[in-house]
Amino acid sequence: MKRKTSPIDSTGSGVSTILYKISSLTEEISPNIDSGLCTKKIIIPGNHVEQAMAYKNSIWYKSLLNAEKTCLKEDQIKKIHYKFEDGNEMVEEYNADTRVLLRRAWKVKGKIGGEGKWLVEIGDPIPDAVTNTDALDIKESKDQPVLLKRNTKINIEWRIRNLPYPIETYSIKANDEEKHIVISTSNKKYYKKLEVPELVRVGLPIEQSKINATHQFNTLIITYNKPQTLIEMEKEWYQELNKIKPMKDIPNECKTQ
Amino acid sequence: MASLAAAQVQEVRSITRIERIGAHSHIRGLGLDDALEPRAVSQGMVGQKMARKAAGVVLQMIREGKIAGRAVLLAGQPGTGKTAIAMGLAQALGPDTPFTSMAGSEIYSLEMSKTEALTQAIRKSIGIRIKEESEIIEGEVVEVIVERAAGGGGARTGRLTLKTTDMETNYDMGTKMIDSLLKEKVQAGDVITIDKATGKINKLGRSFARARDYDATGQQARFVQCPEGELQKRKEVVHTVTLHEVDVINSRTHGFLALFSGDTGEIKSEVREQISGKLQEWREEGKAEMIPGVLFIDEAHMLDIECFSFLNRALESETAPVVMMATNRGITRIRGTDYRSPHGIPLDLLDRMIIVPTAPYTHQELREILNIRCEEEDCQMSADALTVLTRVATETSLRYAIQLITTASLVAKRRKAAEVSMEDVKKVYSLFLDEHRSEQFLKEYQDEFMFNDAAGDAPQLMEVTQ
Repeated sequence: MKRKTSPIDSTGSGVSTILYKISSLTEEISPNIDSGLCTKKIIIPGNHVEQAMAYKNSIWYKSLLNAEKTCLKEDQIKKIHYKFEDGNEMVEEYNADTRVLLRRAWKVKGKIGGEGKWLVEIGDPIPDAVTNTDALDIKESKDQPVLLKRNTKINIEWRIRNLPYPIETYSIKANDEEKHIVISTSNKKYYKKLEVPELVRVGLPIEQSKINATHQFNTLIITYNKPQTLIEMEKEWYQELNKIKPMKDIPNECKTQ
Repeated sequence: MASLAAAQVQEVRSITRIERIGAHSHIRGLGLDDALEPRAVSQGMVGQKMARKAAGVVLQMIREGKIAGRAVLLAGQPGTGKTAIAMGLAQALGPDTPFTSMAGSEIYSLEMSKTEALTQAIRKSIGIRIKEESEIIEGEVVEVIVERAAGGGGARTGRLTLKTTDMETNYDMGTKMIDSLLKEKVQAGDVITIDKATGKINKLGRSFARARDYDATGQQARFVQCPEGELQKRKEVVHTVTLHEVDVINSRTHGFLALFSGDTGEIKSEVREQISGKLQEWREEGKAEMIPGVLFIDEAHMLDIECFSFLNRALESETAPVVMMATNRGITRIRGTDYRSPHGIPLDLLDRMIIVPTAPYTHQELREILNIRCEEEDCQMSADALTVLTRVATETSLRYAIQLITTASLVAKRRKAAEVSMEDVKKVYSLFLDEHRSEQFLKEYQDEFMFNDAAGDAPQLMEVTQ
């Protein structure tokens, strides 16, 4: 169960703590699912329906179902706030037209209390309302690589900006044992372990064959084709979200968050 | 390498800027040996053996951390080293034990009540050591560049390049970070960790790759491997925070911002109760450790009767620190009442205290102290000048004699002498009046001063009013 933790992105990686809480849970049960799948696969090879049902047994899907959910619709963006049974909080933003998840963020609270802050798992980071230069006295220079994670209908996508080296420099490897994708460079300038919590949560393996990378305009774009199971789960989950009634009267202060 | 030289020049400059010589900056500890016996002259401490021995016992009690809410009173005439003993105690306890120093009059603020100010001071003196996962930057230093913006006094900007065996990153640093990097004497080839949240720097050693630069390393240099993988990692680190800081973080929505601006205001008692409860929970689960510290209240006679009765109660709490007070008053009025009491402190509180007296210094001790101060203030003094100065100290006061050291050295410098002579001391003695001569002077020329209506009742007006 022990495993090296590594940041999700350079700005905020506190989210990994929470991710692990859930991922470790899924891991506990995922062997059962896997073995269950295997036997079923032998009986009915390549049965999609059976495979698609697997995610419904995952702790992640159940915790989503059981979470206390609030919906808020603003322009074309649908925001969902989840309060899980273990007290964790998560926010998702969907584009209501394309039904694609734009942003997912977790609330991370310090051990000694306080408000906590939002750490973005998918999408653009949330700009600070108050810039506090005192607190962070050391940060990456502006010209250093910045990692962004995007979500599309069929791909998980990472964009690393400010990486000027040509495409041959990078080696991108899936490491399924430790559940991450490792980016390294031959000139030893950049190294990153990317976590793929989406796959880990539903107990799916990370496959090298699904990884693609392009390099253009100083940006390295890594895409991971979503497995069919994940696409179906996301589709179904969006249907599930439609059952939640959006809040009608929104207090003014809430609009910013 | 040029940048490194620049950083070192910067370092010399910034230290002269940070470390000014204060009244007690010569004190580095209590001057006790391992058996807590006081040495005659040690760590800037001279004489006052009994008081130092007593402070050593108190030090042991604080270190063991079992006894909560004891009060110690340092009582003695002005200039007998009460504050020095408290400072020495703080130094002996080390940076990890919270030591809050305040003057009795600090509690009178318009922004918060007296009891709130006291509660905050008490909670500032209790530390919690807690394990928390934190973002750590760990790597080998490639380069440190510190630049000052054009035009003197401009803000400094710093750039730090760190690497692991797999990657390299540039960081921008703010002023505080630059200062602590320079203080730790971080240079290229060091392997360091930086706690991103607190900015704490930890030097792990020198990189093996740099093992050849013998001239750049001291004898005790430790060699370590250059770290692997990513520069930023999440690691469990031990943080020490004070109860007050936890209070502030939990008291408001933007709590920790208030901590930086210093505007904390009053904290609700519910918040405090909640935190005390949680602390209890953490301690039972072994998640946190409590470090009781010291609250030092100088000029304790400036507290009033309400504060004293509040302290009476507060000392009974399990989470109370050791409270140390110092006063130079004899039997005097308790502030806020018409009753008189020893040290201006009510008898019931005095009864709860252990009282450590300090006695006036002997002639020899005064000489020793003046000698230490001469060193501290970087002043060469001839033996006969020191003898004169010691006589000044016996006849007027130690503080006045100390004032004459730097002034005399300035006079000596003006006549381009390397050493302060007796004449220099005599000159400043005639230039600057001590308190006694000033009084004499006033008595002589009283009639010629303004608003002078045959004094007598003036001293009474000086007494504090409530």
